[in-house]
Amino acid sequence: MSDPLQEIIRRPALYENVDGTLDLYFGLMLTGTACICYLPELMRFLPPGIAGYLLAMLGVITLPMLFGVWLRRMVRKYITYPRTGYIAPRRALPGKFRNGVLFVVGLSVAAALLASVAGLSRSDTASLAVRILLAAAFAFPYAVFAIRYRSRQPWKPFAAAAMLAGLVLMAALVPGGVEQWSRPAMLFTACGWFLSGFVTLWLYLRATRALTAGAE
Amino acid sequence: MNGQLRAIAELDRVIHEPGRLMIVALLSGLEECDYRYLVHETEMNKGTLSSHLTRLEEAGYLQMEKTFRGKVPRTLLRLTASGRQAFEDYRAKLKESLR
Repeated sequence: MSDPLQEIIRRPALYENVDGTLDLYFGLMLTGTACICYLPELMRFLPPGIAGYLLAMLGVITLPMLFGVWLRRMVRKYITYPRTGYIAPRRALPGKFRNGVLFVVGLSVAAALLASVAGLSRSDTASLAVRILLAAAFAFPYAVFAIRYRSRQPWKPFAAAAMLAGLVLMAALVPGGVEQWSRPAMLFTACGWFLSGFVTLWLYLRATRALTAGAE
Repeated sequence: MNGQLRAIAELDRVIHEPGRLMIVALLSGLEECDYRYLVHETEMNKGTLSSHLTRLEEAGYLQMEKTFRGKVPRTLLRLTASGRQAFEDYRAKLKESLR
């Protein structure tokens, strides 16, 4: 018999993204990753050699990550906690380690699949099937995310479907090889995450009220 | 009396009340939270919530700490070790009775 209280116990974990900051964070990370694809073009504006390479890496990976962490902290401190309350998740939650291992294994399998498809794309650059497979791989993390948060944000699975449809449309319409297509596709995916984050935040702000002094 | 009936009879009455069950179940996944979070999640009015929190505190299941966030008062809530143990026992007995 499954635990009838499991859903309630899991609710605080879903509260982590009640304001859409996780979407915004992943959007920033993905924008940084997309910038790596444009690295050869970016490198022309940077000093040659290892210094330029390190600057580029700092710009496209570290800065978006740090900005994402800062943004998330600020939104929580000044918007979320005063409106709907503060929580500190439990560190040693039963099953958390197992879930972490499953997540890492899942991510490794997804990366391996993506690498295989990318390898395949070099041998057959014109193949629409390969592009559609890559489109599904790009949309997959958001789809998992949308399913996880569907009880709090029921519109997210539809957003995931829209993201996939947009990526497939791009796969069919953008000319050139897979490499030419994957750059705008990655930026499109990042924009999808951003849009999802802003919509979540907007809906959250509409549904909640700011704390007034002495309200508690 | 069979095992299932005994399990029902042995359910912790402090936790078994629906309002308090909601509170304890939510707190079990957290180190701590503030009063506002519980108001938001449980959708109880402040009077009802306060009376449930007092009952849990009297039973030794809950610890309340009054602090300030700037000029705004804030009440931090966390389950005590005995509160967590009582909830785990309650879950086990509930599962046994529903088997």
